[in-house]
Amino acid sequence: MEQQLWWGDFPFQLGQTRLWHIAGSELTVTRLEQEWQFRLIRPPLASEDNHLWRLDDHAQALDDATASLQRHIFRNTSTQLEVRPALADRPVVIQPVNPVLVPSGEEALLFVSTPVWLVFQVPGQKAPLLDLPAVRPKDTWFGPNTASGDLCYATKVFGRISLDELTPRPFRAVTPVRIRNESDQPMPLDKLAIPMPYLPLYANDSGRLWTPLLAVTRESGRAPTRTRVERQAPSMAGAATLLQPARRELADSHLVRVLNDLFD
Amino acid sequence: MSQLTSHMADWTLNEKLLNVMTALVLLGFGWLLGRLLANAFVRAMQNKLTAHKLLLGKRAIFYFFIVLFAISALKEMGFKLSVLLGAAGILTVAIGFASQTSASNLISGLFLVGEGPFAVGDTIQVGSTVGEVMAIDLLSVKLRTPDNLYVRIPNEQLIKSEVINITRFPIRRVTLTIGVAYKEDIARVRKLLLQVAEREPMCLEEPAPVVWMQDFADSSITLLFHFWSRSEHHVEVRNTLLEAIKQLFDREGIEIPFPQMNITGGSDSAPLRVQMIATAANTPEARA
Repeated sequence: MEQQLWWGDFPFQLGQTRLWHIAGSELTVTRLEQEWQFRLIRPPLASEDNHLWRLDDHAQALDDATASLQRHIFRNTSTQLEVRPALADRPVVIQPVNPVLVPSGEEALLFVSTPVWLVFQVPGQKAPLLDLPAVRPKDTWFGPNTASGDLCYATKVFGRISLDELTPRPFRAVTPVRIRNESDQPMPLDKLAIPMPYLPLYANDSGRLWTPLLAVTRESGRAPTRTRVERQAPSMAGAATLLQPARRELADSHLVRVLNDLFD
Repeated sequence: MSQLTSHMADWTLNEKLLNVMTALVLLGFGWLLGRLLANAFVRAMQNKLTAHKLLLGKRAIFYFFIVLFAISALKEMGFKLSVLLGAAGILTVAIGFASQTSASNLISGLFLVGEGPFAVGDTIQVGSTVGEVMAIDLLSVKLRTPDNLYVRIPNEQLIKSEVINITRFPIRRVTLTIGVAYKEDIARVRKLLLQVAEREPMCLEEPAPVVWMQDFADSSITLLFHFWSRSEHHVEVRNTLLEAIKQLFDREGIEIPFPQMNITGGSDSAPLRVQMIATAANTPEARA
């Protein structure tokens, strides 16, 4: 099972180079006596639909003429490198192809999948050596106008009402969103900004990536939409282990304000 | 008797000298205290305030202590403050005429600080000068241009003229003016341009990019291609997209025409007749 995952703890011999082919990009990691070298080639047109990956345990480092090189100098390099998936560093905006409405008094459970980042870390170091998206999503703006709002990532919609219809993809994490409409009016879901930096990332037995459930309640009147992030992996994920804590800590009182504009 | 008078004069002189020395020490102490407290304020609030507010706070603390100790120093030297203020009233008129520009800049500076159209760290454009605001002082604003030049702009000029704050909002619109030949299919060109924007991650998905037809120009159809990017990326995105458009148009055979002129000779717009006249020197026989 471990062999089928692109993340994990990888032992490195001195001088060894591993090559990750990830969604059209190529990344080699080389361990030298006193430095880690990362060489990356990204295609000009990376597609979010590309979910192919391959790992070569013994490879040649990419050519410096075409690859971008990052060097990290240590007194002595460790024998192991931790590779983990992580969630986006900004909120991700999901836009249904066709507008969806949740009628008054109803509840809906959506499953949306969002792109993941690759984090390369050595044991004992808090800051990662490399933190990059598998496929760089497009920037987008989420707010009532162009003067106020948040810079987010836009992603292709991989959202379903039924989990079975959502194809498991290695570079995307599933977020269940439960929406309850307690107001008198139907609630339109034109756009949805998922606050990824505030969510931890889990993986279940089959290696599928999950985030905790996001419970959104719209109350009657002019009360703000209440949003709650569950503290554990969602029940539909089965037995899941924590892979990455949230990028940013969120105090409970902060939650409502930050996630108030979840819908546009 | 004369000895006593001379002693008294010496004593008065010494006392005056002492007062002046005390005043100088007071001023020096005020300057030192002002600086120390202003720097302590900056260190304490570094993570809580913006660079602009830090600078304002630092200046306010420093000048407060300088003025306070300057008043004490004047008092120490025997000046009566009420008399000084009275004299200052008369002097103000004279000084006002003499330092009209400085006073105007000073007042403008206060308005500028109050209004806050930009802060330290913002990039602004004043006239043809674009630069990052380094400091907002009482008399002038200091900018650092992209060429790394230090530009001092008097506050009065900033109050009077149009100032564009380029980095006020996190995102901005970029407009490219593109001319294509009259023979091109505009719908296809529009689709290709939007495709270029779609492929560039730094080009925002929302607000969505648009292509407008602007004009039937002399040599081409002028299109306006509007797209949005982060304010700090706009130069980079503009450059990337221009390059990508040129490559795509070359690949797709879309013509970007040079300025051209058709010469016609009459109401029917029929082209002018051109006739080659063979001269003796120009005939094939002559050339052979």
